Amino acid sequence: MPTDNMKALMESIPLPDELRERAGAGIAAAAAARPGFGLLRGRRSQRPARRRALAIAAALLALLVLSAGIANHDRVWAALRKTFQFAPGTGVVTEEESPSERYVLKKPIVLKVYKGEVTITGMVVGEDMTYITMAGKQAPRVEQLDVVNGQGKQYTIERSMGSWGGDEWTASFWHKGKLDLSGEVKLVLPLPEPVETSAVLERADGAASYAELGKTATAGGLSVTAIADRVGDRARISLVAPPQESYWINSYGIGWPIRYGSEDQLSVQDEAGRPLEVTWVRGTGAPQSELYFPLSERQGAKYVMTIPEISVLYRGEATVKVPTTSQDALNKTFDIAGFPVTITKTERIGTDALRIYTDLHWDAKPDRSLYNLDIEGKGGMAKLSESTGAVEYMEFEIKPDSKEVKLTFVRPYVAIRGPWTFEWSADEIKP
Amino acid sequence: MRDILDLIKRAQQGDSEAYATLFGQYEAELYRAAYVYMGNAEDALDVVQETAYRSYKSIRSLKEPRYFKTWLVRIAIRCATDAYRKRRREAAWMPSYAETLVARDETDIPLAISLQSLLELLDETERQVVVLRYYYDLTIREAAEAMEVPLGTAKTLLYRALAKLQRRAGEEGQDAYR
Repeated sequence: MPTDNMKALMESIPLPDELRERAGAGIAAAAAARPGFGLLRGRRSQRPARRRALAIAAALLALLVLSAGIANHDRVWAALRKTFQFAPGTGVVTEEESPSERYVLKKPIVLKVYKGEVTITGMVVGEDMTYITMAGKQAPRVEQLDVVNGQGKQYTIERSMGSWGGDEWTASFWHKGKLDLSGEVKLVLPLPEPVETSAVLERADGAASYAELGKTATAGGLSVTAIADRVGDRARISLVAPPQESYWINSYGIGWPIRYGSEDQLSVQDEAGRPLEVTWVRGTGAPQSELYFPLSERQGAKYVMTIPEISVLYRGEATVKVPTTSQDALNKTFDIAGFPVTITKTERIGTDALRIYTDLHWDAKPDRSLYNLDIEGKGGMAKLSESTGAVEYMEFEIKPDSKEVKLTFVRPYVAIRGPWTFEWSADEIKP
Repeated sequence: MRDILDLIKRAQQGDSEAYATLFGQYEAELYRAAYVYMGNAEDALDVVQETAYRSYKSIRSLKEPRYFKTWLVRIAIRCATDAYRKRRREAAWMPSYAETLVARDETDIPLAISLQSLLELLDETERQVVVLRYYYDLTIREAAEAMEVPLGTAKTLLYRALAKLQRRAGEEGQDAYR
């Protein structure tokens, strides 16, 4: 048997330098695509248990605080007199009846750190909390951050969340309670060779509605606001959307299409229809909501951004029982979050695996399609349709002697069809 | 093994750094297999990245951590197959080989093959079965399951692949004596 020869042959294939980076990028993308997944992470074993517990609690609290604005849909829609404040770089929109003073970092700060760079993407300082977001590339990860106010008082803020992949990382720092920070402050990354920079925290602008924050487009019942500003020679676009009762957005399609196999991808074109390169600094969680594109000095320059689809994650689950034998015409239909799913047939794979073929009824609704879902507690794999991106079959392990298996389907992912189109003239993207 | 199980457990709890460490132990193997299947480095990197993406996305539902590698390889095969099909949309899902063909003893095969021969001579399914059988050390039955083809088809593919390689090895051997 030529196993050794084959192995020797295979080992002769050189490994590219970017292998680790690409694997890391895949992991980071998966972490970002799955909300709440990949946010509590490494080095935990190096921490004392109490500190670990506090870190986890802080992370969860941070999520709760950040989710506060999206917790009550009815209140949001009734909030005609409320004030909305957007913190650039963080993706956070707060809404209050009596707006409190908040200070934000209006432009990102890029720092050269060793051979790479760290971008302080956003800061928001409020009455109840301070929240800072950061992204690094080819730079050491930052575990804590020192912030010094104009009077020389120093606050140390621990990292509350972070994600890593390849040579990129993101992190957020959260402090519960009020910190005396406004105007010019000093930020210190306490690395072996500390890195310092100054930052100006400006009072957050208030708006009466999402639509006042930026240009708004609506499709499939979902309104998306694109907040544009200028950062150097690029436009920064921040996407925000009012909270929805039945789902939340998990991807705008920045960087890759919503559905596997889809050709449609978020794009920006100039007035001549030429595509512009879209880049982004990785955000701290899903959805990635900020992107950049280059600005032109041409007179009459215009920019059109098109979002073809938005992926949302519905709340909902459904439990069904299926036989563990091969059945060609099972055709068992159930409903999850209002979307029909048919298990058309089952196929026993060996002694300990079952494949279920699914019809997600791609055309069941005119403006949105269920394209993916998970089975709670089941490992396995799925095959996706190239044309629709919908799951065609799912395969998972079963007990060899079982007659049937109970499956709980969860996390229905739905693609809402757009397009959402936004157009800016050059003078609408202001410094 | 215990370390691997610990990394899997941590990854299932959302520790992406642990998963990066875990995946790092297999990425070279996955890359090389993908390289043979796809035939070039860039596509192979795409396959590795997609495998990392899909596997971490579904790691939470992996029930049998001791079968992690098998599970990962299957995902990699699926990613490679999808990528190949996407690259060549006209390609048939799977050639319909006659299952009545019986593969002969697979141990009677050439030893002196070059990577170039492997890439040039074999089509994607033949490359896949060779890699699964001789690089991942799967049995032919396991390879068939991983490729989602009947056992007879996998045997036929392997037979054809080895026959091609044997012919080339003979030609290269003759060249060497000229």
